[in-house]
Amino acid sequence: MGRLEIDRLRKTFGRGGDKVEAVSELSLSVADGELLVLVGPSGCGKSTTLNCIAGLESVTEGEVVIDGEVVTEKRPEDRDIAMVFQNYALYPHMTAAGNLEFGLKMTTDLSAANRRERVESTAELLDIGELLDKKPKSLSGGQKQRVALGRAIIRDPAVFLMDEPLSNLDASLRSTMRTEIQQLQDDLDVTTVYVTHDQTEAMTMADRIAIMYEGELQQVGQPLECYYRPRNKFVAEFIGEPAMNMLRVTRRGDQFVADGFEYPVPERADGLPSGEPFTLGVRPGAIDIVEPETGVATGTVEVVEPLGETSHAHLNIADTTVTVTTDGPGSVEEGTQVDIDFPAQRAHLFDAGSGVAVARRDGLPGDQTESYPNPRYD
Amino acid sequence: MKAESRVEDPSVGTRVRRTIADWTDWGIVDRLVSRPLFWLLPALVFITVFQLYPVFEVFRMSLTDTSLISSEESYVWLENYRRLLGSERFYSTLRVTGIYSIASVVLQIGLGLGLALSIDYGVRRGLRGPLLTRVVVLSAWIVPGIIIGLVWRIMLLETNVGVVNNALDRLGFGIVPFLSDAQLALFSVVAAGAWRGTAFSMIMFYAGLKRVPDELYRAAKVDGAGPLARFRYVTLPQLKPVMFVVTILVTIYSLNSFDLIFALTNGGPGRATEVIALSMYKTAFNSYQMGMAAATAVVLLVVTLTVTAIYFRVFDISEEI
Repeated sequence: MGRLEIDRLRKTFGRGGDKVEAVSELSLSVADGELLVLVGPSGCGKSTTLNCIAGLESVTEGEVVIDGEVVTEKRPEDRDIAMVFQNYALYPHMTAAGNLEFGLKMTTDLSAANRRERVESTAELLDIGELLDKKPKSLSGGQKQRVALGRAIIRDPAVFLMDEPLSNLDASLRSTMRTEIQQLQDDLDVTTVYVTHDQTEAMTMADRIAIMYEGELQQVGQPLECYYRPRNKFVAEFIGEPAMNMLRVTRRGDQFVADGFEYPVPERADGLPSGEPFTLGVRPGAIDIVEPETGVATGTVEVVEPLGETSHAHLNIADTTVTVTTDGPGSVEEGTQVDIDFPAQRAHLFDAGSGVAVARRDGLPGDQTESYPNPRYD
Repeated sequence: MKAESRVEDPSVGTRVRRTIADWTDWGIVDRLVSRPLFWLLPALVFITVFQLYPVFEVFRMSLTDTSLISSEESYVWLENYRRLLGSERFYSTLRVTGIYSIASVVLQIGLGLGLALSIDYGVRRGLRGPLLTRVVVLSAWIVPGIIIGLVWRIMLLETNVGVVNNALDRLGFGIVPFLSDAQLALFSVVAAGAWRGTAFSMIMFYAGLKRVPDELYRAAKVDGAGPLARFRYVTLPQLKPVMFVVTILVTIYSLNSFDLIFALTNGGPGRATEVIALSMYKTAFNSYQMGMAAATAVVLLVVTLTVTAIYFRVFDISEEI
C-alpha cells in the first residue's frame, strides 16, 4: 500500500538567465488509497510535479517519499509507481497483451505463463479480454485508454500516476471513463495522483484536490471545501463553472459599495477596515433575480445563453459584466433591466491587492458548523 | 446564365478549358480531363523517353556487337552474355561489388544510426552541438562523389604529402600503401564510400527518430526498461520502415557505385577495386565495346532487382505500408 509525501519540492529548468522555476516549495501528502487530483491551468507545474514523483524528471530540491522511503534519487522502475499518459503511449508494434506484459517482463522474473495469467486477469477486470491480440492502431480511443490503464494496474504499484488520461477522449466517453476510473480506483484502493486541467474532472473524481498556479500550491482540500471556502481569488475563479463574478468594492461603514452596487457587510466581515478596497466574489448560481428596486444592484441583461434547465444571463452593471445562472427559458429577456441579490453566506471577500480570502465562511452548506444565518433571508 | 458563370469563375482551369472550348467540342475536353491518364501523361512521357527507352536500347544493344570505333553493328544475340559470364574479370568485379556493397550497407547503417541516435539524444536533452554535427555530416553528402574521390586520394597519397601518411609518419609509423596494396585499396574505397554515404542514412534515421513520441520512452522508463531495452523495444521497432528504405537505397546506390571509385583508385591496383559499374565504363570507353558494356549493364540491373526483391521478402513491412 502506498502513502505518498512530497516535501518542499522545487524544480527548475534551464540555467542562468533562462532559469524557470516550474514548481516551488511544494509540500503535499497523499494518504493510502486516496485519490488526489492536481489541477491548474496549463503551465502551472502540475505535470512537472507528476514527472518528479514518477522519476522522469530530476528534482532540484526537496524530497519524494513513498511508503516512508525516500525515492528522490531512485529510477522510475524502482519507485513502485505506474503511470498513465495523456496520449496513451502504447507501444504501437506490440499487441494489447504485449503492452500489458511489457512492464512485468522488464521488472519481474515471472515466467511467460505467469505473465499471461496476470495479463488475462487484468484484461478481465477492464473488460478488454477480446482486444488482447489487437495492436493499438486498431483500437478505439476508449479501448486504448483501457489498455493504458491495464498496463498500469497489472504491476500492482503502490502509487498510480495519471497525466490527463482523459483529455484525448470525446466528451461523452470522457464522462463514462471518469466514472470507470473512479470505480476502479475505489475497488483497487490504490493511492492515486491524477493530473488534469479540467476542473469538472477534479471536482467529481477527487477525494481531495490540490490547485496549483505558477508552480505554487494554492489550496488543498476536499472539492466542496475548495468550492465554498476558496483560500484566494485564483482558486475561487478557477473552480466553478461559469467562473465566479468579481467586483471591486470599497467598504463604507456597513456597506460594500461600487458603481451602481451596494451590499451590506456580512456579520463575519465586521472586522474589516472601513474605507479599504476589497474584491467581492459571488458565484453566478448564488445570484437571484429579484423584484425591481429590492436588489443590491440593477443591471441590463446583455446576453442570455440558454442551456435548457438553466440559462446564463450576462448583466451589465455600471460597465462591469456579472454572470447570473437563472432558471430556464423565459426568466429573463435580453435588453431588460433587472435587479439582483444574493445571500451573505455566498459572498466571498478577497484582499484587493494579494487576492487572499478574508472573512471566509465557517462551514459548508448543511454543516453543523454553519453558524451564520443569513440576516437578509431569515 | 452559363456564359455568365464562366466569366465569373477566375480559376486557371476554367480559363484554359474555355480557350480550348473556343475551337473544340466541350464534351471531348470534359471527358479527357476526367480521365486519370490525362494527368499521368506528362510523367509517362518523361519516363518513357528518358528511362524506359534507354533501358530498352541498352537491352537491344547488349545483343549486338556495337562498337565505338566502328559504325557497323550486327546482332550477336547472347554472345556478349556468354563471354561476360565466362570471363574471370566479371566474377572479380562481382566479388568486389559484393564486398563493397555489404560493407557499405553495414557501415552506413551502423554509423548513420549511431550518429542519428547521438544527435537525437542531444536534441532531446537540449544540448548544444547537434546542429553543427548535422551540418558537418551533411556537407559530406552535398559534395559530388568524384570530388570526394579526389579529396580522399589526396589524403591517402602514399608519400609524405598525403595527409594521413604525413600524420602517420610524424607519429613514427611507416608509409602505408593505402591505394597500391590490393586489400588496403578496397578498404580505402569502402571507407571513403561510408564516409560519404553515412550522411544520407544519418538524415533518414534522424527523421525517423524524431517521429518517435517522447511519451513512449517515458512509458518504457516507468515500465522499467533500461537504455538498451528501450532501444530494442521502442526505438528499433519504430525505425523499421526507415531501416527498410535506407537499406534498399544504400544497397542500390553501392551496387551502382562508380564516381567515387573512379576518382579514388580507378579500379586499381590491378582490378582490386573494380566494381561492376566501373568495369562497364571501361569496357565502353576504354575498349569501345558498347555491346559488351550494355550486357554488363543489364546484368547489373538484374542483380539490383534481385537484391531488392529479396529485401522485400526479408523485411515484413506489409503493416507499415
